[in-house]
Amino acid sequence: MNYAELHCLSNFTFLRGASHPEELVQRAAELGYQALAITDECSLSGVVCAHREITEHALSLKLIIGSEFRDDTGVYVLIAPDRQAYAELSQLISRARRAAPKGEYCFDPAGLLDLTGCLLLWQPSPSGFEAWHKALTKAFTGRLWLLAERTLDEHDAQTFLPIQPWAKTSGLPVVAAGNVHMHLPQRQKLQDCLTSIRLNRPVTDIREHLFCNAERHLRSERKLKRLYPSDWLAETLRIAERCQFSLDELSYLYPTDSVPSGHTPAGYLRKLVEQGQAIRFPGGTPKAIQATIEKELALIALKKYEHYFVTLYDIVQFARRQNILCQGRGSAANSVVCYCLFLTEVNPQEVQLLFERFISEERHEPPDIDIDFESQRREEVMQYIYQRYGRDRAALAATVIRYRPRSALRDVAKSLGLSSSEQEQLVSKYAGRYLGKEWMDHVLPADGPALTRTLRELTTSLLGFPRHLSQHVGGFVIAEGALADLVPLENASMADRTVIQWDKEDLETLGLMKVDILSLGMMTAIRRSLNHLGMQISDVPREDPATYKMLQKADSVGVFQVESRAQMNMLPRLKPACYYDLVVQVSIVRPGPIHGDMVHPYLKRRNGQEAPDYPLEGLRPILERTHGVPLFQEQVIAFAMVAADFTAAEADQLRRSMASWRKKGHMHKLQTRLRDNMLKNGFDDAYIQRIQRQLEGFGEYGFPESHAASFALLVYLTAWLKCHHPGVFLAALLNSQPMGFYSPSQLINDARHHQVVIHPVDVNHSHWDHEALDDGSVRLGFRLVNGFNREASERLEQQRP
Amino acid sequence: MTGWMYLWFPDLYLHSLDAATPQEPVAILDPQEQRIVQLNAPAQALGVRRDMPLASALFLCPALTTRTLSLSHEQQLLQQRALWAGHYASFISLHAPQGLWLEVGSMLKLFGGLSAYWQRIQQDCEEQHWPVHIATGHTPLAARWLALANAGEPTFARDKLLPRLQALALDELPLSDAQRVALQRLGIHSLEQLLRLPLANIGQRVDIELMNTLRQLKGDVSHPLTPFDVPPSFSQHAECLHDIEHRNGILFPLKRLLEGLCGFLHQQQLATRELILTLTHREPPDSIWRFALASPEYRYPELVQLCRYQLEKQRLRAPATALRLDVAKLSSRAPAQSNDLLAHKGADREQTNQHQHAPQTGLLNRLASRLEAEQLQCLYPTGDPRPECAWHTMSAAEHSTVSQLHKAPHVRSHRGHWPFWVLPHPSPCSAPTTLIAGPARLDSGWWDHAPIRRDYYQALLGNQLAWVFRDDRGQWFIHGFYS
Repeated sequence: MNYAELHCLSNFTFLRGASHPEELVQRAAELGYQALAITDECSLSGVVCAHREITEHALSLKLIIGSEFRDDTGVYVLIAPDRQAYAELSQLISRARRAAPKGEYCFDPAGLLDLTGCLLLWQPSPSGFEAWHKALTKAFTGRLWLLAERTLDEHDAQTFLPIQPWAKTSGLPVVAAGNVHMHLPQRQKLQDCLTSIRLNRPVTDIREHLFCNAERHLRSERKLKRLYPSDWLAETLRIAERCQFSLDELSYLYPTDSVPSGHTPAGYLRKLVEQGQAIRFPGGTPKAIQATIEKELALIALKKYEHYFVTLYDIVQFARRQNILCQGRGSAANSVVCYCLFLTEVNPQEVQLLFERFISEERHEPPDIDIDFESQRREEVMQYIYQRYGRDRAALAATVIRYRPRSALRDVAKSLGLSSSEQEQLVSKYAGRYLGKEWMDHVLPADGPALTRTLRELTTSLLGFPRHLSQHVGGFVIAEGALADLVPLENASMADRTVIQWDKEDLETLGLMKVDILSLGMMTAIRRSLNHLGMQISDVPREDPATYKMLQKADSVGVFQVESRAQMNMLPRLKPACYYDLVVQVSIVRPGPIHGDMVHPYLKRRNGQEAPDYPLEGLRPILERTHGVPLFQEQVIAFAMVAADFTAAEADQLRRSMASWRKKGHMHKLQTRLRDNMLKNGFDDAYIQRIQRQLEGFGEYGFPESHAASFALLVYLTAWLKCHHPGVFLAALLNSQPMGFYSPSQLINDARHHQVVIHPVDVNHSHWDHEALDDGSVRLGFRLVNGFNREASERLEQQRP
Repeated sequence: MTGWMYLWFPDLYLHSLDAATPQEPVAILDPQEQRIVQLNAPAQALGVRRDMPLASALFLCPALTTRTLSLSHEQQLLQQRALWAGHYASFISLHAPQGLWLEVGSMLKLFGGLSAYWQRIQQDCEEQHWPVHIATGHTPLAARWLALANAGEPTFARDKLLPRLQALALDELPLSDAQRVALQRLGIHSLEQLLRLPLANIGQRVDIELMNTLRQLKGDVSHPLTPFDVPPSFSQHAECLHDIEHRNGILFPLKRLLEGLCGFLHQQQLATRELILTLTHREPPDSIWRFALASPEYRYPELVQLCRYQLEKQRLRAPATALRLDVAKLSSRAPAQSNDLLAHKGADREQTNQHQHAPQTGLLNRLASRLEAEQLQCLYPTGDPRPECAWHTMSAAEHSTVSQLHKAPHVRSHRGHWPFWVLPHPSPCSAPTTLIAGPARLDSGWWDHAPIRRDYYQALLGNQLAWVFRDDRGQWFIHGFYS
């Protein structure tokens, strides 16, 4: 078909677009469009999804990147034909977004006049045409078209009919487009519903704002030919032909700031690792470890990840200089290289390296290392990054906030005019349940009255729609050049924070580096305790039997991660006796293993009540550590490769789809394949179902072994502190509130049970902070006093005798 | 600049009974002494005089109708006058039994000068049949004395007022008998003579009080006045000279009450949506008539008109002896005010709407008061894309509530060139041969389960330009005609 759609909004134009980018590209490909431009309003958030869908399904459709801007002079669709124009567009969006509060943008046609690469499709308003056509024609010579869109409603008289006379007046070429808001006309209902949510009034109250037909969909060739002259249609192809830009061209360059001049990145990294080795292995690096280091460095060099590691090293060095405690975790964090770079304290000698895999050669995504900083001081690290790389080179990744069942139900109910008590009733039907996919049947039965059916239909399609962009908890994107050349930036709701328009998954797709700067309250407590004791993490004696003995008694109030009721229940049954047991302990009380019914088999086998069995001999190396029971995400993935003959790429897809399994349909394909292949390999149905449930559980709260290993270290450290220095630990915990599972009074009570003497707040002796005294007792501080503040406390301390 | 005006309503009580004009002699008696205190012209013609004992008056004029003055009602009458005066001044002081002080100086700009101001008041009182003496003065007392003598002139200039004051005879001054006698003994017959005496001398020879009064007159000492506070709610009553036997008779006393009400609404910047009229009969119970208004109202002529219509719909159960007026459903008049003062950019259209709104609601109120509730329906555009649902009717009361809550959706007048004449129901027709314009596609209305899918065209049917559509089954319908 000889048509390219050049004006199409996805649902990343929040509350206007009524189709996912994936649906749009699928439909466009189905209709045989040559190309499709995703032109969300002042946003590029949706383009990566579209790009991914096209790549994954090898669709024969060219994706064009563009963006729409509107004001009372008309609608402007900017299209990026090449890399330079893309940067221009991205910069323009960033400027428009940065100048306005979160979620809005400032647009002025005058800002377009110095664009040199972008193509402009313009649907002027009558006054806009008079005011701007001369200036725009001059600025966009050969790059300006009048945008003709026939929607067969009252808007035609204003926007479509004048196009021809204007074309005559100005001599500009005309191009046809569809002002697409949805992939199928059936989505009009949802589009109306979105309009009503946007205007915050029920549909029946805002009828004058609704589109009066469903023409804003991807139209068939037959229809297009009836509506537009053939040369206007042909013009779309000429424009599409000029667009040669693909998101794959975005070559991301790691920041090179941290490598001093005169060093090659590889040489510098090696030097750093060697320096680290001298400290980490004072007695000389064991041979096996040295071999692993060489292997890891070779892989890093192969994937050109040196800058990434050096950048992380730089951030961690800053934290260490400032005495900010931090600990890395993630797939790549538990490598020897990271140990030597001080990114992690998990000693590879203690834990056998869990998997050889830490950056797989096949995976085309950057290594993922999250670093936890003390929550009270993480801001310092963030400010350091801004200051070191500059605001135009570092920004937080976005998190796309999507409609979940509760919010979708509420908004649809509101737009259908249900009263607030009816909305409440409906939402409460859903609330608090984990019903699986069938929850909809419980809340809105398919055979209910007409209103229920409408609610059901709209809620189903609204689920998973992006609602707005929020800032990622700590994912920094740092670029070598200006970040806005790569991706538009916008304001976050927090003052002085900028986020990019792409989320974690988008970054992964395009291979952009993200550094996760996370905050962990417990790190503060550990740092305070260690400071008080004058120790470093590495000074804490490892594998201390008394500590494990305490944990086995479920005496774990205040200990990181294992203080919850569920964990306390598990401790006496699992009886952790070594570091690796703690790794298992933190991972086992999780939705994945629980939903997969893996807990009991594991406990039985561990206690010797049942012999481990390996359905396939090939699974033995994978499952041996956990007695034949798959507990960790990595194990299940590796399991899929062996037991279901998945290729590495497929297994990787499985892992990623787990994280986003709520986008329905996606998991299903892989699930069927997993099931078929496992059946073929002789697994029984019950076992397969357990594995699948476990996968779904991981989807909700993925917790890989590499993360567990890092967390286990913190568990051990806090348990050791609690066991040997209960007073110091209590004071540190109380000073780091709010955090953890228990209230200060519960923590204090628990300490009393451990014979810690607690001195009450004393106007003559207390300080602002709680204080561990040399005799092991704790003096409570003024921070517990309601309505008392730090300044007053300091004044009081100065004035007292 | 401060300047004072004194309004003196002679025979206030008498006039409130509408007794000034009838042919029959009427007199008002002092409540304690059974002496005549107020009387009308026919009574006067028959020789009845003020201060005459009732017995003498009846002797002269056996047909004399008498009413005993009720001090509390007289006080209320003055209050009603004060409420009315609220249109003209922000500072008002009651001076019982029959006078009002208005602080006028600060209001002149608003009314375009003193003579215009004076004229407005005079005109208002004339229309309302209230005899009044108006006078201005540089001090409150000067204004009062001139008013009592009916010697006022619209000026505050001392040099113009002084000769008038000086010309006042001793009899015209509100002095006590003792003061009058003492002054007569001194050979003083006019204010001019009095003012020539040294003040201290007057203190010695007459009394301290007169000395102080004269000081106040000259403005040497301040004259404290108690401001009149607008009561928080409105409830006033009127008495009738004779029992009212027909509803038409109610209008006169009611108008008097409405004057007060409008002053009250003006001062409080309120509008009302309900008047409650309570009629007292010789036998209980009272009749209570509620007049509901379609939209809030506060203007006197409108209210009078509405009451006139409403009264036509009522029947008197028995003759009424008195009536009381209360109001309910008060609402603030803020929008109208913002209209005048805060006309800001962007509100232009709304503003013009508001201006058109005022006469419209007046008409609406009048219609509503004449017709039964269900006979008056307002059109309300819904904004619905379907021609059948693009508007609906609602009762006037509902309409005013809805339009207060939401701004009515503006009708998409350009919506696909809808004709003026849209048929209530589309009627089937054969496929038209000549299509002039179209299609305009309507595909909407899922929310109330009556969705439509139609392509509309302008077509020539015979020699008539019609609005036709084809539905999704291919059937053609006529839905309207163009003029």
